[in-house]
Amino acid sequence: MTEHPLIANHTPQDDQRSGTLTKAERTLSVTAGAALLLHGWSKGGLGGALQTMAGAYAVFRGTAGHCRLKQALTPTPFEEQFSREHHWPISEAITRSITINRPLEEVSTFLARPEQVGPLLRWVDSVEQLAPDVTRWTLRAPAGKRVQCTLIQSETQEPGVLHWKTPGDARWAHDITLSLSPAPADRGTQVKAVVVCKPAMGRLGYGLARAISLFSDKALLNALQAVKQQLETGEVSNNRLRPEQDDDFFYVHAADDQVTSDHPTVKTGVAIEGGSH
Amino acid sequence: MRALTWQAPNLLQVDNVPDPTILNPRDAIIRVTMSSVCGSDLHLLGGYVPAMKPGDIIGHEFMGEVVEVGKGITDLRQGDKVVTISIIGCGNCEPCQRSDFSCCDNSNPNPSATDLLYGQPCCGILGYSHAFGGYPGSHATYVRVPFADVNLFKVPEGVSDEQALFVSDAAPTGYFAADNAGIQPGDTVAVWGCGGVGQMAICSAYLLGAERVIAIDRYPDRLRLAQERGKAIAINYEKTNVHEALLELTGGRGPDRCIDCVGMEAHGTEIDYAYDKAKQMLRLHTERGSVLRQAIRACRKGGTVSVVGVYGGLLDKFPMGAIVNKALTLKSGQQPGQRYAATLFEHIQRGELDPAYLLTHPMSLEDGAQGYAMFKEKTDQCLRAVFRP
Repeated sequence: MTEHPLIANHTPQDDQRSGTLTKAERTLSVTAGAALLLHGWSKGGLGGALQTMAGAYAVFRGTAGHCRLKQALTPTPFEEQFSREHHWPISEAITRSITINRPLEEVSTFLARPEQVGPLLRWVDSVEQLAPDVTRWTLRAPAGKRVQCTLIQSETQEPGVLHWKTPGDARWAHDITLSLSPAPADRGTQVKAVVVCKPAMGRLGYGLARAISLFSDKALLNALQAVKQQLETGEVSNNRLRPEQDDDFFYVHAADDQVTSDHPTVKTGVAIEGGSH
Repeated sequence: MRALTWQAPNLLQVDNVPDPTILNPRDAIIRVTMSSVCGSDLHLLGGYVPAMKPGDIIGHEFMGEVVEVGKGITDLRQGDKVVTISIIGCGNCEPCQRSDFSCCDNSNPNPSATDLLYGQPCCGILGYSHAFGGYPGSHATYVRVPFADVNLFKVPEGVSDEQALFVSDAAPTGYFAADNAGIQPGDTVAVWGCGGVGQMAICSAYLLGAERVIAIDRYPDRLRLAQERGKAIAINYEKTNVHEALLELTGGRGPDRCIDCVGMEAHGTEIDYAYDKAKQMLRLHTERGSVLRQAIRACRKGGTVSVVGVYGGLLDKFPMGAIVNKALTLKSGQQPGQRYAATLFEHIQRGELDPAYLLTHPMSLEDGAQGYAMFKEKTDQCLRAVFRP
């Protein structure tokens, strides 16, 4: 991967602010807004009030020259660059970074094996190894649904980078990169996760993907946090009184030999032995 | 088992709930013998801390006996008498390794809530809302304690149960407040709030070298305790202009160290209190900052303001100008009791600290709602109601 702008940049450094309206857009917004405002004012009633408010906003938007909706539907510099490099029509990216207080090699080895990571995540039902570099993930979705996706791990030229992507014919193409680097002052390993998806339906799909990313961003944070907990403490924290109480997300905990003999039916929440503790 | 559960703001009830069980290797199950109310619980009761769900078991200051441990726990046995630090640390993350256990990276199973509120995920706290992990609390027959090797401390010889109980929260919070204040020999320390934490902050300030402690509250019985047990100079803010009194007592300099043991539900007599109260009722902000503003204004130039009273969200009219122009240091945090437990037990064993006087109202868990009502209204000079499940 070439040098990218920060994913947090929403506007190119040498460009005007993202979401800025063109002269034509401003003129149209003010004109149409004023007409709507006047029409709503003369009409009265609830419908008229709504038209008045919408018209007033359009006038304000045109006068100010900036539109938050347009900004929200404009890909970031990182996403623009990613789309160019991968020949995607449009892309939407989320990122999270975390510092894990373990050596880089240990973190890298752990993360390179999705079958170790999957059981830590509450929203993952199972991870099947289809081939040495191919895994099929069964994920929990709202309303009791299950979603399956396949990830192919690919070699990268850059040290400390792990990379997965969905197959070329995937309905929801995704590209996942984990960049690992030593944290300063011996604080372990910094892990930067970047998940990019290829939305369908252009700008509209991009807007939808951004809305969904409010939730997937939370899932990514929880996932990285679970990995950190596992590697640092040897277990993943949970707040239940009993294992069967988890009524929404519960991660499958497989291996019988990791279960204490006193509690044969208890899923302990620890997927992998050998955490640092 | 029986447990005191939160149902809605200002509505508690005792329910039958399932017994907890070992879920992780470093867990321990504790049979609770004493579990105290805490001033910070009142924020949950009042509905000022979001992310509470009906049925949540509250309570976080407690002691008990070990019933069962996970396979990763080797230094605790069934029957050990232990006190639990209510702010959960894992012992492995970078903050825990520098003894900042209350900044633990790993103890909160719901990291996204505080990540959204505060910018980074915060630690888990037993019985203190889903934002802080959603852990079932200690007002119950049993409680599961995660990372038991880090958060449980055996009660040593020469320490009574009534003394040990408060090493769970009130004593380390007060000690942390005084430690954070950076008290130097000869310092005058002002402490706002003379509840359990305030009383412990007063005692701790002397242990850490303060020459004089000034205690500020409005309840005569608490001020009397601060005088008699804490050897503090007492100021009733309903009868005295606190700022003028502090300047009068310190030669116009102001206290060297100011400690806020009150937090987001501060009361006051000045106009800012009415302003805060109105905005809080309208849900326009979450905190009432009378005490914090008063502490910042009174603190001497170059002094330290230490905050252990709980604040949860947004505070209006924060006097940043006074902080900058008087070169004040503002320090705060939830207590990292794991750092202080051994020291506190030593002080208790040597007779230098006796938190047992905080326990004014022992009662059954079945009377939990009544205990909280009594504690909230400060009736019958209630300093701490302690349940014996």
